[in-house]
Amino acid sequence: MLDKIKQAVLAGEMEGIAELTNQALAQGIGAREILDQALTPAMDIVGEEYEKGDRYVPEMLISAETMKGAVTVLKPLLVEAGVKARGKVVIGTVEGDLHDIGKDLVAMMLEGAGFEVLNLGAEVTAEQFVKTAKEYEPDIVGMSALLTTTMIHMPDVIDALQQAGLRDRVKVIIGGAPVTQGYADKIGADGYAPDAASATKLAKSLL
Amino acid sequence: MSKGEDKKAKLTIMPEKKEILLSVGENLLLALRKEGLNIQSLCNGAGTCGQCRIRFEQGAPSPTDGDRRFLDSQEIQDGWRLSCLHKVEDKAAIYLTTQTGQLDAKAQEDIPLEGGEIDPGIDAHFLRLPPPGRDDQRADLLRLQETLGQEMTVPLPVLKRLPSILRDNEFSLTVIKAEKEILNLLPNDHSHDIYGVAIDIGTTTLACYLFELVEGRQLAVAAGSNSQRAFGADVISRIQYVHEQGEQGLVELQRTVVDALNKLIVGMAREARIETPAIYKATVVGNPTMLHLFLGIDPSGIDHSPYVPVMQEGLTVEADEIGLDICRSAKADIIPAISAYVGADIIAGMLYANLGMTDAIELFLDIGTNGEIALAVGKKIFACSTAAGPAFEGASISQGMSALDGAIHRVTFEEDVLSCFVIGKKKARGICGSGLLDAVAVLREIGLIDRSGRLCRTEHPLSSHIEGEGTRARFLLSDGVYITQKDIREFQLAKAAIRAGIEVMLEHASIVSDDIDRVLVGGAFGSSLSPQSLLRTGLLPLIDAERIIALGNSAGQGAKLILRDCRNTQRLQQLIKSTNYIELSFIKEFSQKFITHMQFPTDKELLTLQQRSEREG
Repeated sequence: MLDKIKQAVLAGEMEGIAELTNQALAQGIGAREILDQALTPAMDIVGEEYEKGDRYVPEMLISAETMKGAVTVLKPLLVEAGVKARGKVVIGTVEGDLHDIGKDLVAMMLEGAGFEVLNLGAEVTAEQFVKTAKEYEPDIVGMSALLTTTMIHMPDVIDALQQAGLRDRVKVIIGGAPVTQGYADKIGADGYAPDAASATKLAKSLL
Repeated sequence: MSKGEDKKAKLTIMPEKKEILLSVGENLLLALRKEGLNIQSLCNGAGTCGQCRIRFEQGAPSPTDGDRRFLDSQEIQDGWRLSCLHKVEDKAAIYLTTQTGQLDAKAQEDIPLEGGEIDPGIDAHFLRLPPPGRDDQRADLLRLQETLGQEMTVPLPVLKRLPSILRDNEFSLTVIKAEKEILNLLPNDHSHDIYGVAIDIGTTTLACYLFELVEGRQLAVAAGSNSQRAFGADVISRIQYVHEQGEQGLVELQRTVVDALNKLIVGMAREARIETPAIYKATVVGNPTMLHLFLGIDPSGIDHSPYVPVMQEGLTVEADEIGLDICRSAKADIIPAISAYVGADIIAGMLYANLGMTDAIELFLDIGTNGEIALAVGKKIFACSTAAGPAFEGASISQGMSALDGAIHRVTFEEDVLSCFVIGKKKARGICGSGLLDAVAVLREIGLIDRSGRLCRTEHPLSSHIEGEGTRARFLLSDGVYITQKDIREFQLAKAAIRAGIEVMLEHASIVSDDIDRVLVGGAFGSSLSPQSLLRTGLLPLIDAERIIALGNSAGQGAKLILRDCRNTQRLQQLIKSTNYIELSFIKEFSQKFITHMQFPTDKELLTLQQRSEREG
């Protein structure tokens, strides 16, 4: 059964995944088990295949969406059982930038890897990042920008976190088409990842 | 190196054997572009897109890691390199991957607009003025105005020629005028020599149409690549180029597109045997970014929220101000837009499609690098724009090309035979948007592409056309033209963007796909578009194929209508008033729908389609 779920995620069978997950639960398989032994390994494979060039973005999106279908079923059970997430991540696209899809993919991949993710969506201002960081107490704040004209808001968010006295409590990771490791170093971010698969690795390595 | 010792290297461009001198040490891509060579680079020289590949016949530099990322060992051995990753070193002979050639008019199946009343707003009169005498000392201009019976303004260079024209031709002349302005004065009778040009500036493709403006006949058509492609494939990367390079970049982009248009105009004039200064009117459509760049206006506000263009109202400029190679005082009418992303090209297309003129529910699509969607429910119109990327125009496809000679533009599988139709009936050398759409549709239909978009071998005899595995898999269409797994993925991204946009619009108007009376499809697919392929790939929701109508280049057709008849500008205003723009980026469900529609229709849906088409057929 676990293998079936894993295969469904790999093949991106998003329509049937909720039912399959419920079937597994009905058979007495635990939510934690499904997450750790089916979903996370499936997404690890998706990430690896992508990095090796054996998978393109559309397939990765379809698989991630499928995984999300299963996580939606499992989430309340995991919370109920008090299963602790690997870490908490707040993620958003910076001010002026409405490009959502790359960042959403990172969010989904992180969820698949066992993180608790609060996705703030697009056009997130520095104040919103700070406010959420205060209330939600994440381990990681992730920012995305697709344009050189909006990327410049990233250091503003880091400054705002600093001023709010939160900078030492969170790791800041950044990504998006115009962003580079050099830029991350320059603005004092803790990490940069070029794609969703490596973002997951980066998040794991920072905790 | 000390000043003045700028070392040059001689490079030979193949197959023309054209020799050029480039400065040693300069970035090869930039240096070649400076020479006016159009090399595509989606990432604009960042080494991340792999598009700027060129082949060294001699003198290939040692490959870099970046080369190895995009080129396999055979290609590297054959001399392929990414030009943006190398500097001009020594003399070398290189082949560029640039596409040249005239768009085949037949493939484009351009539909000339003929007949009917026309009112281009330009007219020509052959006049004989009463010669001056002792009792008639009127000034030349006054003499002309009183004979015309109208007060007119005259540009200074034109006025300067007035006395000699009058006196060398016994006071007879041709006056060419627009409303209250004299555009030109000519000796002899040229009252039938007035011409106009309709211009469609696409992000990927340019199209121009030459008309004579007495009866409104179309004389010539020309199309070619938008030379700005060298600076980025889509509007965003061009805006970023301006952002990075500032004023100079803006000038560069403006000049390159005007130069390319002038080449097309000169070519058409030669074909029609007319002189370019006899072209007195230009009607220009294009998306807002293209029109900003055409006018040399900074489009920076367009790429980030809240997406504010400098102008969206229509505008009239003088040809001379932008460097168009037509009569210097001719007016170029820039057609208005609705928003930063729904531009003049769409309004013109809506005009051509007669959208919002009946009570029917009509869906209008203009498919290009951006896919624009307009849904007319009665007289109310909703419009949006979605970023499809350049795949449908053949630009991000491994053997993709514009609809030029040698492009596969239709693919069918009937009675167990796979047929590829090539433009110009030549040997296939690539595939254009409509060919790609058909190829993917056929492969999905026969099951060689599964629902998720993966190429897979089955019992089907055409399985033998599949070579390679996984992401390296590819399907042989014909004559060494392949459709690769990566091409299919690019296609999926593009079609999902359009389909997700359609779904959002339907929801917004509270209707379902079955309610749609007609789907009008214009843009990159041209008129050789197969409605079945739109359905089989899931680009469109499941509706009756017979309700789908291919419009060809709707933007260009709309531009022609406006060129021929200036009364159409009032209808444009009407259309703009009744259109509600929907910003897809503000709609949360869009990305969810985008991901869902990345997939192809299920086998069951395909079966339903097949049954429907058999019933109809």
